[in-house]
Amino acid sequence: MTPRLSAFEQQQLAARVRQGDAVAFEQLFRLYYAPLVHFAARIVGAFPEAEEIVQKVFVNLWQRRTLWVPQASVAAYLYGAVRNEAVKYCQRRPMAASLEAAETLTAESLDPDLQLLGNELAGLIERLVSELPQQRRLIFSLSRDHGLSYAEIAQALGISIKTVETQMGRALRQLRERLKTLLNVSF
Amino acid sequence: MHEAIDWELLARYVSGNCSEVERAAVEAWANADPAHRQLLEELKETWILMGQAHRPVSVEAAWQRVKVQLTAAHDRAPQPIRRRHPWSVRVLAVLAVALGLALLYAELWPSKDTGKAEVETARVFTTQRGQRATIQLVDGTRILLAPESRLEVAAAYGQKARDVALVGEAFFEVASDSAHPFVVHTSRLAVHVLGTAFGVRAYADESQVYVAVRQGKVQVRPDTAPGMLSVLLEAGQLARVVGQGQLQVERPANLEAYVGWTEGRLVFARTPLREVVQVLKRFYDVEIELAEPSLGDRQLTATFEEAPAYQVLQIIAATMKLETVRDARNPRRIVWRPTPDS
Repeated sequence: MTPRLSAFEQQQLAARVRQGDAVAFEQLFRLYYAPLVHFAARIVGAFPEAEEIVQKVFVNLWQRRTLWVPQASVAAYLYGAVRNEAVKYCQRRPMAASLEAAETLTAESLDPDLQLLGNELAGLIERLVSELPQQRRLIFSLSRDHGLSYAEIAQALGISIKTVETQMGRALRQLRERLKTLLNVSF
Repeated sequence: MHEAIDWELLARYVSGNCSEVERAAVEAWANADPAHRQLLEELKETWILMGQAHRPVSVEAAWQRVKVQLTAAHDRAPQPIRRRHPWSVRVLAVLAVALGLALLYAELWPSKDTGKAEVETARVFTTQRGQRATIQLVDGTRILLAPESRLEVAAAYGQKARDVALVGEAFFEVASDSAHPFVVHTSRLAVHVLGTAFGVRAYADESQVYVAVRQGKVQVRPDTAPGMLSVLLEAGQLARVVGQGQLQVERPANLEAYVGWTEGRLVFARTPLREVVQVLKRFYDVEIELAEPSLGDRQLTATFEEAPAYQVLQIIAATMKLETVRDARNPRRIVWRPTPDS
């Protein structure tokens, strides 16, 4: 779901934003806002807060645009910034609320907002993904839902590519086994 | 499978992160042993299933909110965006928030008809496949729009009458207001309402056109057959368009079957497979092809409660003796063909 821009396009967009090009900034915002909100919601557990966090990241970015030189990938930079902001947010509020909320948020199939998805698979998928340990869950989500490469995931989360590999392997193995037992489905 | 499985390599493979050489190695590994092949297919399937259905986010409303903050005090460098009329930006933001309330999470883009001044244009709401949306109108009327549907709210809505036009399916909870009759227009019928809750189904590509009343009373008039008499429907009744546009009134044993989609229920009652396929396409955003047109005549009776797509597809295939052929390139597309012995 994350837009795929070539490395060149990403750097060009970043350069225009750095020079104060409001049009380029709006373009960046429109491209990445929705996927970043979903990613933030995975960490903080609630959509209104996820939206606030992502908006804050963009406002900060604009204010410090002259210093903005994203290393490899604009996407990795944005996911990393959102992740930092979201983690900061979680630290500021009572522990229990954050992860509990994250795990029940979308599993509730009766949530009226979620009904709008029209896709009832969501509840089950959410449950399985939420069973993964947090780091594994974020890594898996960045790869599966956001289409980031292993290198981008490593950059966004500040971990090694090797860790991404290990966690992806474990995530896939775990999910496949859970699916098998849960659904008792022969694929 | 007694030898060690390289899960990391398989994860790179299914997530599209492996090199050509690795890809070939995985393929060779799978070809060497049916058990390997089976595992690889299961992992691909897992990967596909784990794709998230994302709740729509209103980017427009968020952008309006952020845009206002960009022009705020902290910004020292002179930017073209700052120089624009701060008022209009703020008004826009307020408008966007007001709109946002109506459209929040619905990802509806009210597109304006061309030509006329803004105040006079109708507002159009559309949903894609796999989407439902809630629309709240100024008078408090609530409309739940089914997938792949289009609702047009007349420009003069609320002035004399409250006119809306529907292609597709929707459930209405109309705010009571006897001075301003609420009228739903479709290509085949019109529904006049004073304040009630009812569902209308009128997809362009379906023979099933009906109005089902959950609460209150509505008057239904066939639009395409002007000479036809209108009928008054009470709660629990259903009017169906038959033949040349005549209305046939019935009191179905289970009215919820017709409005159940508002609660995530799919109900089929001797529905031809051809139409079942249309419904599934809309609800789950999948592509289904029938290998033989005659399959479309088979009838299905089934109710699914909040069921995931793959389960619904599996159950239908099993009951109707269909074989599911998956499209290797497009995970959302399947072909149904008769099982060899049926």
